[in-house]
Amino acid sequence: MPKARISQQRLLTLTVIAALLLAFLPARYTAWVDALQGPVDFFFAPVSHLASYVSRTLRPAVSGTLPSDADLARIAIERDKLQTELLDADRRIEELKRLVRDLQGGINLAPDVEVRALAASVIGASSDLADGLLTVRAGRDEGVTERETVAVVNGVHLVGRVESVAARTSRVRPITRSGAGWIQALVYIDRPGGKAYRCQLRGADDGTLKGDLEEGAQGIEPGQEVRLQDADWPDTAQMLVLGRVESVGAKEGAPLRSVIIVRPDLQLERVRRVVLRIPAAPAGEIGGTH
Amino acid sequence: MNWLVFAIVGWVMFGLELGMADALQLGVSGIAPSFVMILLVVVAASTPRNTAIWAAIAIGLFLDLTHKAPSPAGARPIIVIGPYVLACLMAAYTVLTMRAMVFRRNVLAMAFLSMFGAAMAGVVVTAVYAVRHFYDGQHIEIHALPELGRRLASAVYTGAIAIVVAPALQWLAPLFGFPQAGSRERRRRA
Repeated sequence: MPKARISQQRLLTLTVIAALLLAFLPARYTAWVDALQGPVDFFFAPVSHLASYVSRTLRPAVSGTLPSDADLARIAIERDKLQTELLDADRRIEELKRLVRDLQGGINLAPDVEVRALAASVIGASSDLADGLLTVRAGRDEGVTERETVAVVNGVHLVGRVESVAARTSRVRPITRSGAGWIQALVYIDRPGGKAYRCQLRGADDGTLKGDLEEGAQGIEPGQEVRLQDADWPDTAQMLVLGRVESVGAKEGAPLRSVIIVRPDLQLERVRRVVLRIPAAPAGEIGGTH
Repeated sequence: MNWLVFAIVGWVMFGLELGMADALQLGVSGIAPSFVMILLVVVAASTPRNTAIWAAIAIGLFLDLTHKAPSPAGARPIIVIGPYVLACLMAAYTVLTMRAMVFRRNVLAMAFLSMFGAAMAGVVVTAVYAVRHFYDGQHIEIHALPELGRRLASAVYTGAIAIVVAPALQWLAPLFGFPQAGSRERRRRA
């Protein structure tokens, strides 16, 4: 009996030492741990999905711009989708023009990327809300790819980018989180497709994005639409809506520059379901038929 | 302690934590209660020392596996095993030290222990990430003071929620197989 107690004590000591070592080992030695995320998410998914469904039903994401009437809201969503497709088509035409110019100059660029849409439920958040990651029920098995796949709601409103992928689940970091980094965007003055000014935004961790407007920007007012246009983001995210201008003011210490605050139309952390925009592999690539 | 019951209740508590914490958070502050911390405190307050420590290790391990370390902008978030294991061990140790001083059936006592345990856990997690930030900054980035403030506020919130959750867990004490308070007294009287 005393022997067993000693061995248990020893086991406990070894476990604590192992935890200490793992806690302080540099990330390059513990990359294998990420493989456990999938099974653990799968294990907790049934109960966390239920809890998430209940909480998100009781406290749904509220849209600041969509009409409350369901039919009108559907039409508005359809309109926004078409508008986004038009803008994206314009952007692609510009890109193709550039491509033609480059090809004429002998430079071969990557072929265009096609998008596949996949609806996925939000089954929970990270256990620590500070990082703001949302867990969605779609993963590597469904073709979701890290940093190339983005999540949207209502067709065109960007939620965030997929940051890590397990077999059946993925983690999405909302754009309103500072961890999402700087985002280049366009503020449309009158209507999408019209006159626009560039701005650089970053999540402020309070449900908004804050950043700088390009020098000389004029006529920026609350309510104007802001859309992503950033080479660091995948093609699947270009021209998606980031939100609307909430306020514009002079930058502290640099009165000639303006600070802009943009608020997404929805509370991104409260959405119940997202649509993942997955880049389909280019035609001709092995296994890439969608 | 009946480990099967502990596993089932732990599974449910983790589900609540992952699924509901964001709905219960205060605004967008990230201040939210921890359901599993309340479970840990109830177990640590009612079981022998070694059992409490193993329960803390199990809860801490799953917290580590369901949590991504705070990463710099643009970096791929990673999982780190250890910070929450150490944090839960500290929380369990705190409860083990303090449990003799409180009346465990008192709801406010459990709320106080939950708050204190969660606060100690928050300090340890923040400290581990802050240390790692120095030499592993490309993967882990933390602003220690705001993070500590958020975790301490979350600990207070956890204490408040424990007023409801802890009695429900204590109600399951016979299923858990916790030694019943007062049983020694009753045996002596008999």
